[in-house]
Amino acid sequence: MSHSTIDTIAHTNRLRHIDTRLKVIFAIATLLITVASTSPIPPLLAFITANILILFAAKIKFRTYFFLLLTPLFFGLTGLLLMSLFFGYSDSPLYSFEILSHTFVVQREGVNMGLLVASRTLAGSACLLFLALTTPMTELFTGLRWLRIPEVVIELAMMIYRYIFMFLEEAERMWLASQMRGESNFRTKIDVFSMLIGTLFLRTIHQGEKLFVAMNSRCYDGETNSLAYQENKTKISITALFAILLFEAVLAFVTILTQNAVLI
Amino acid sequence: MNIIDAQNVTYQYPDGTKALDDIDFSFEKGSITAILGQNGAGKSTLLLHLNATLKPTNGTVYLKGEPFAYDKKGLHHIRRTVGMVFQNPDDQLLAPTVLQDVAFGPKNLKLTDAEIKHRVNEALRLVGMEAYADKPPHFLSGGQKKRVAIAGVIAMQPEIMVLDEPTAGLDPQGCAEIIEILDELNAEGRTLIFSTHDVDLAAKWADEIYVLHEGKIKKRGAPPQIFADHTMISETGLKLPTFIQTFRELKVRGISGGDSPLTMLNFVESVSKPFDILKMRCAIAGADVCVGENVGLIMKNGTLCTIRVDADLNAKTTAFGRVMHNAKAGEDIVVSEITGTITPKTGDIHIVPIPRVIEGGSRAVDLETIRTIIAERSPHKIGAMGTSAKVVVRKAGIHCDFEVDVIQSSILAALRGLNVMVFATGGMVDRFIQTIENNNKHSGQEIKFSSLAIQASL
Repeated sequence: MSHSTIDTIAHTNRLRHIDTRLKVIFAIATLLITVASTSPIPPLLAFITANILILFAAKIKFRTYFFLLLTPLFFGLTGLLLMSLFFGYSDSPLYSFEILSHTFVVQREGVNMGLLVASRTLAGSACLLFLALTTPMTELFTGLRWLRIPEVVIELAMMIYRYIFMFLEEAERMWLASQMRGESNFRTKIDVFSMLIGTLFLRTIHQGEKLFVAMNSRCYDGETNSLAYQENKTKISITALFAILLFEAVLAFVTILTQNAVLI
Repeated sequence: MNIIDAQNVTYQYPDGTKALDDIDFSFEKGSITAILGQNGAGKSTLLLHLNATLKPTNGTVYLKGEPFAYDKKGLHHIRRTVGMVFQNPDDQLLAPTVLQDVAFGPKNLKLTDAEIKHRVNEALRLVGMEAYADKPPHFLSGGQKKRVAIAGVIAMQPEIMVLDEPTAGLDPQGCAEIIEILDELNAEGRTLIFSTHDVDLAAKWADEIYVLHEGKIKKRGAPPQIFADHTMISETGLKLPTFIQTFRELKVRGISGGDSPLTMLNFVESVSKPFDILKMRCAIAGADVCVGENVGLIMKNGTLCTIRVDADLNAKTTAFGRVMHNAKAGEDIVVSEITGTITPKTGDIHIVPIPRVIEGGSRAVDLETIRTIIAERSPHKIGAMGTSAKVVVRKAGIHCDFEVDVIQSSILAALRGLNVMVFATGGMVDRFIQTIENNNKHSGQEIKFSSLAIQASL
């Protein structure tokens, strides 16, 4: 089914067997540096690196990736447009134009602010997409555990992950069933949709009860490490770790160098 | 010895309806019990009492003579002894990967990591899902999910396994595979209790059947007793197994005889009476055959028969004799009347025991030996029963004719005169031999069998 696309890619891409922790370190460190940067240059560098990794190292199809990137791209460009029009008070407008006797002024600060935000958005999204596309959720949990995220959170996340797919299928079935019964206009579509949401919610509660019975049947006693079993304890490749740290150091260095630097 | 007993169990839902109404039940250690009944008859409710998920409103359930204790410690004890496999595997599989799901139970039993690893691997190998250990459940098919759900319970090593409709929603092969896994577990001494709508399965597989109707036990007993009571069967909305229905129709027409059959094998026994051949390949043309002698004939379908000659074949006085006399060797001839009695020649069954998963499984077997054995005996048909036997056969690249219903298919093939070699996992060998011996006793046709021990390579 279509909804498992990202999940399927995560299980089949070329970087699947790289230690999860390395991928987590790379994604999170790059993300943090990008967010801390005051110039659009480091985020753009990070964006390019992440793209290379996604498209050439993990060999993910450009179409798939671009489709996923469309949303942040849309937000970034909208932000750029609005900020360049409504930000900044300098006396040196880049450009001005008039629509319906209202003057719009494009300010330098606005453009720079917009570029910074857009580049951060894209870089951040690329970092997270890198993680999402190369690491199966199942392994991400291991990475999170290694990062000392509380066990309760991880365990909940695991079960949520498990049941997301079931309810997606359930919702798909229910939607199909409703579609098969009669014509629909906008009004009835809204009605059907609200009904589906309601029914789905009831089903989740019902499923939760069943799950609890099943867990109890396997001697569950409320302790939170029941899902913590890990068989394959991989070792981090020192070379790869070193390469990542080097990259992050360079990126951090560029961030300091380009402090408050602007493109325009 | 009864492993679970219950007396006067009543279960009342909060709205007052009685799902179970004052019933007694008991399950013998090591037995297989089927619970039949319509939807809403109380099957699931009964099963949920067995691992103390539900507490009876009235009455007591005993585990090995001790009444169930419903406090924390008691529940823990009950649930590690009684494993429960739910009807819908999606209700049961909760972890993001197969491995973690199977490890869930052992983890709750507070076992050491080494022990957990051992049990998880063993359970996954037993159900044949070790290749899927890292997969999330939503990547699996229904049958695979079911096997993982069973592995999750096996890994806790319960003495009793309770299964709610283990074959519901599976395709025929998936169904047969699940039954085989369960059969293997039973051969190791586990008690199985399952509910089902599949009367054929209950008839051929269960030692004892309970028929539940509107919260009461309508009848309990061995399959022949249950299915002999036709009135009860129709009153409770069940149906007779296909073989019994067919048998009844044939019996009133004078074709079948004896007891009601429960399996294909019994069924064949019930109709195997002297039959007439109409067409055969002439293997004896020209030979001097005397009255009273046995001659071997190859029938057109490949079956070997012996025929006692009670008319002079060479005499040309009978129609048969004339036909035989003029026929050339190897030619197909049509015989329209024959008065001899025909006993088909039976084939042999060679059983090759394969170590169980816990005894090293397929890794303890030298594949070369397996290939040599097959080359030496060149059997007509090859079968594999049990997980590790199947792995061995697959690894050795041997084509298998029988992978499901192996015992029955092998005996039927042997009755048709074919030699069969079966690779059987550990504890299933005894059951196989027992079935052959039973058949030899009842059908009057002797199948020779041998058990070929192979040297373990470890």
